[in-house]
Amino acid sequence: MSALQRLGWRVATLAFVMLLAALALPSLVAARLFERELTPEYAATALTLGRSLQTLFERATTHDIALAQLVGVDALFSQVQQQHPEFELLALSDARGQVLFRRGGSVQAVQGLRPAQPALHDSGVYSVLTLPLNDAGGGRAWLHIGSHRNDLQALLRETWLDIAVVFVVALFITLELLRMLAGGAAARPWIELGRTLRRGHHGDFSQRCDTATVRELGALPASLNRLFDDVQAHYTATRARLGGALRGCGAAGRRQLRGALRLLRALRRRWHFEVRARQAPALAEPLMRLRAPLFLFLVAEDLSRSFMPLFTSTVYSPRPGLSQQLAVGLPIVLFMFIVAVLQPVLGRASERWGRRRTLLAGIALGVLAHGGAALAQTLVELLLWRGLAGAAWALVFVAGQGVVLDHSDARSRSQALATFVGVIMVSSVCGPSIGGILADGLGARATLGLAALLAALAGVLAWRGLAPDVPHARQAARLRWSDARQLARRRRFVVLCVAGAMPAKIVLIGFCFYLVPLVVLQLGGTLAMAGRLIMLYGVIMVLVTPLAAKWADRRHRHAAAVLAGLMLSALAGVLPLALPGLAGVAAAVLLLGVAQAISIAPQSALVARVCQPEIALLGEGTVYGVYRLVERTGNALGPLLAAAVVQRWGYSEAFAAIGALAAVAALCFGATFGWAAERTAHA
Amino acid sequence: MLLIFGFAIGMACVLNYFKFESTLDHLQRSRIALVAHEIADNAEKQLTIGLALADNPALQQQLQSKLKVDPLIAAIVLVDAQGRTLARSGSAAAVADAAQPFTLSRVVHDAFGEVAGSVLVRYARSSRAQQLARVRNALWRSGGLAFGLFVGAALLLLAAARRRLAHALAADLRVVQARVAEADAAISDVEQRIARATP
Repeated sequence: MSALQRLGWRVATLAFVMLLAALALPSLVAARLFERELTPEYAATALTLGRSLQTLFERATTHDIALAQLVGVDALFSQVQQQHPEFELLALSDARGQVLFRRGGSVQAVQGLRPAQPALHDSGVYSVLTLPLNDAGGGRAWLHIGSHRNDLQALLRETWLDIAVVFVVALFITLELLRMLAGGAAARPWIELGRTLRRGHHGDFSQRCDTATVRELGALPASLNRLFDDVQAHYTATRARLGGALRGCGAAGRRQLRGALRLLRALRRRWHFEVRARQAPALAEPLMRLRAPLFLFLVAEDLSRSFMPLFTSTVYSPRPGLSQQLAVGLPIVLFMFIVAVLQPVLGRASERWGRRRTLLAGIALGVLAHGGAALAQTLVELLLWRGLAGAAWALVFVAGQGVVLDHSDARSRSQALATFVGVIMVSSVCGPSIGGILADGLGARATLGLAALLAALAGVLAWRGLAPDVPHARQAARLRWSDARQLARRRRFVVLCVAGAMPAKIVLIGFCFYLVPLVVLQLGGTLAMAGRLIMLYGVIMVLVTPLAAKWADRRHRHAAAVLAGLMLSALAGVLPLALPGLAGVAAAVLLLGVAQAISIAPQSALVARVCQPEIALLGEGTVYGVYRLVERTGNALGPLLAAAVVQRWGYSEAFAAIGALAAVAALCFGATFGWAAERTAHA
Repeated sequence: MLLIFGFAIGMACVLNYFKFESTLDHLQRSRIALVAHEIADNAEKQLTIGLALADNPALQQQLQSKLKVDPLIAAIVLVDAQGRTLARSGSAAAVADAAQPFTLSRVVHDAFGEVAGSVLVRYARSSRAQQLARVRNALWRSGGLAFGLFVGAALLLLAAARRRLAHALAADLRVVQARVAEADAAISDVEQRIARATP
């Protein structure tokens, strides 16, 4: 590593630590503020209930009925607890401190509590609010309302977790924006100089720097180029001289020159002199330019995920045969259906139209769809706009994937796809979280309007950033059934789809998005907790996917990565059985995240390696279109299979069944692709 | 880059503020719902014994007493199924302010499950607005402080990096120059051999 690179790493690490600290400060202040402001609000609920009951009891005493003689107090307490289960202890004590009526808790918890004014006491596990009452005949009595002290702690814990979610979202968005900046024109001279110096360290003088460069670099790039030019000229002249000498001498001279020739050959092995064209950054520039618009477009789409069912219920009007429960799911189902159906068709279309044009068309449709959804007044209108949003998403996805495939080769495909998956995962972590909070604060329609604006910004960035389309070498035809039949004859492709892609999605959707929320609720958790667990999956994906992809590309272990992913998924299915409670579910989600992160990008990269002849014949669009169609079938099957097992056996069994499915898929995959020892280069 | 960090800190503050607002709303609404439920339950009990909603002589007094239960409550109105006001408590302005969003309603059903009326509880926004302003200001202050500290630290880091940049570049250049000199010497060696072989 060159000194410049070491300095770059140190600056980046320090800047990251500073960013963490800068985001942590408002988060810590928010946590303290929330505690300070919400604790009295929480206590006020008990006070309101107390005052409400107080008016009821004191009405009795105005009729000279002593509190001890009241009937129906137990029933009243029971009714209150049914409506407000958080108040576990309700009691009424008289002037002597004797408990007249009590529901929940213990007598000891309220003994001796006789304040002159309403007051809050910590009594054992309870936080008890005691209010003085007037009893008949001028006597005094006390009403005690106790809630478990953990309840307030639980509320505060929830708010802290929400603050942590905001922290993670802000951090991810910042890092994504910084990546866009790092991939931009400003960083290029530094990246180039770093690479040229590193190569120079190793005796590779083939690279040249861009001399029209930043001020801080001064004349360094030019002098470096001159240095390399001189040594290259020296080498070229010597080689030419040797060539001339060899041509101009006889056999004896050649024998004498043999030593010089050997030295020159050794020189060529040790040093690199031939000038190469300037190399693109580690990931091709078009991919870095795609990153910003793709991220903004996907965030715009994901913003509405968390509130779409609720928003649908606001535009729903009763119709025969269409219940509200069914109606709220329709926009999501329609969106998914259109994405699944259009992807195989659009793969080839994007080759014909050009990636940039397809991407811009998708973004334009997205702007229209979000804007339309923001103004929708009826369910039919909303469905129309969500259908259009599905078409927009499919267009942008196939165009984005096309750019990735066009600008990566066998050595970098997993990493390029990991970048693509990484952007999708970051947006899926950040979008719903921000969307839910924004919809709470601004309203669903304003948030959808904001989504339209974000998508429009994505359009501007794509329009300015992406290079104009160049005509594709081979004009892609429309997708035909015969193409799918031809692909079905490639055994490894079929196994990759049926035992790799489809089970991976069945496990992901069935496990993570269907079973986890239900099990968390069954275990006494909240939907917010389920959401955080799903977010944990996304965070693991974002962190591990690029590392796993790099490893798979470097070691050519794509098949091994897919196999490892399937095996870890199988293990994740067993974890909820081995570790009961929320800890087991969290551990399973974590492991599933690692499993998916390891396998998702290598799996896509493997398609190109397995189907080289078919890609040459049918085009990448068609091959990947069919692959994505099978993959998305897994999306649809996941919840159906999980629901069927839950209905028959139960939640734990459903986890185990999904794990077993992953194990069977791993066996089939391993049997076809060979076990971990096989390198993908030979696939 | 500073713009990005500023945006991130601002976004964290805005999102935390919205989160606080929704949590506060939730807590206050659940508190007010408690009162609305109780009035509606009493009204439903009255309906089950055959009395009409308006037949309760103590209704007005009951609404008046519930008004004092929570300082947030500005007005309580009981309306029948047609929306006619049967009883109310609270200031006339608060009662009339039907458009304000801080209204919680609870439907009253009769013994047959039909809608007999509704309890509307309007609650004040002033204390809530003060509370929100307090939190908003504190969050912005902390965000501003974090950004200020970040800018300061970033400037220090930049200055330190600039100082070290020249050293790093010089060190790298020295290594590359040594490599080039090494290669030059090797090429010269080849040249000498050629010269020796070709008199």
